[in-house]
Amino acid sequence: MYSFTRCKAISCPRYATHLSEYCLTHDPAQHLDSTLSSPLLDSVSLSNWKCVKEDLSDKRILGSLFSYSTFREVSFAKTTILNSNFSFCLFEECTFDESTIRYVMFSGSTFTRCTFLNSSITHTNFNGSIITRCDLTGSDLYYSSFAHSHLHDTKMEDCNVRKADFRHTIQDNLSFRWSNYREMMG
Amino acid sequence: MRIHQHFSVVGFCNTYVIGDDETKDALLIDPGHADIELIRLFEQHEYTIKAVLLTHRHSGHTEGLALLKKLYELTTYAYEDPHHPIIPNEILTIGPFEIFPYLVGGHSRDSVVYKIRDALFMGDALRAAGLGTTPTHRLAEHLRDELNRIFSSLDPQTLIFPGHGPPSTIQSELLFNQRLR
Repeated sequence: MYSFTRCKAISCPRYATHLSEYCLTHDPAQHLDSTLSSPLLDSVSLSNWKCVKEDLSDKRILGSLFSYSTFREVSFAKTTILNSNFSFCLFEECTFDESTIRYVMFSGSTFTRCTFLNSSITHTNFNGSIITRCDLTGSDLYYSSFAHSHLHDTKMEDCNVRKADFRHTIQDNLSFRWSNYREMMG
Repeated sequence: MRIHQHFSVVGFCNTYVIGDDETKDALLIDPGHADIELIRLFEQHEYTIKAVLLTHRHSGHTEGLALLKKLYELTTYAYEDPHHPIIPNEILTIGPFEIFPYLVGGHSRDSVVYKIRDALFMGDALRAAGLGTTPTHRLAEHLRDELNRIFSSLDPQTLIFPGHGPPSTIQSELLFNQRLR
């Protein structure tokens, strides 16, 4: 599990990374190569990270912190993400196809043109997120929560939405075709 | 500290195993159901279960205890437990873990929330974007006030692990849980 150590810079509200006593803003020269080349990212702390065109596919991400980060054209295809915190992040054109995501927090995040095809996304928190032009077709969303989220031009077709929470959502051109939407909450 | 979740399809309850990587000591919270996956989790990480903490005594959160007690020597802590009672607002130290219990009531008379380092284990007091069920509206208001009081005293980044459904943070709940307003 990531540690909650704050950045040592005076009055900085961010978390220190797992590599330094400072956050990425106050110590931008941190070498992330060894972390990112490993197939296992365990207890990694990289909040406020700007991640562009990185290949994080086929990795295992466990107990890690990435809150307030930006991910642009990043591949998480076939990646397993467990018990990690991606809250208040920005995801643009990212791929999560065939991924396994369990007990993960994406609350308050913004997803634009992302795909989550044929993924297992269970017990995951998307509350308050803004999801635009995304495709989650063929995914298992069992017990995941989308409460208070805004879902625009998005496909959740052929999904298992049993016990998924869609209360207080704003839905605009959201498709649940072939999904068991009668079994969801909301 | 490492937090593992185990989901039980019996009662749809989340069971949590909190392990210490150095000492291999572990705590078990709300064993709703004991199955091979849960036992494998202890064995794979070579954990010694030092104690079981119950957030409340509803069967969906305790039914795994009977089997686990046959396999391991377990000490169970709960509010008003005759042998190992939890005393609200008094730090309990078990192995490397410091546990701070809050008595919140609401969902049940004995509902306790445990704070362990930067994580809150909520039981049925709260789930992401929702409040635990309560027998009366007045108890719901009491539960809401208790949770707001706890949340306002802690770091907003504190993690929340409910008895059912996905995890959250205090910050997310304050923003997206209208039952807390």
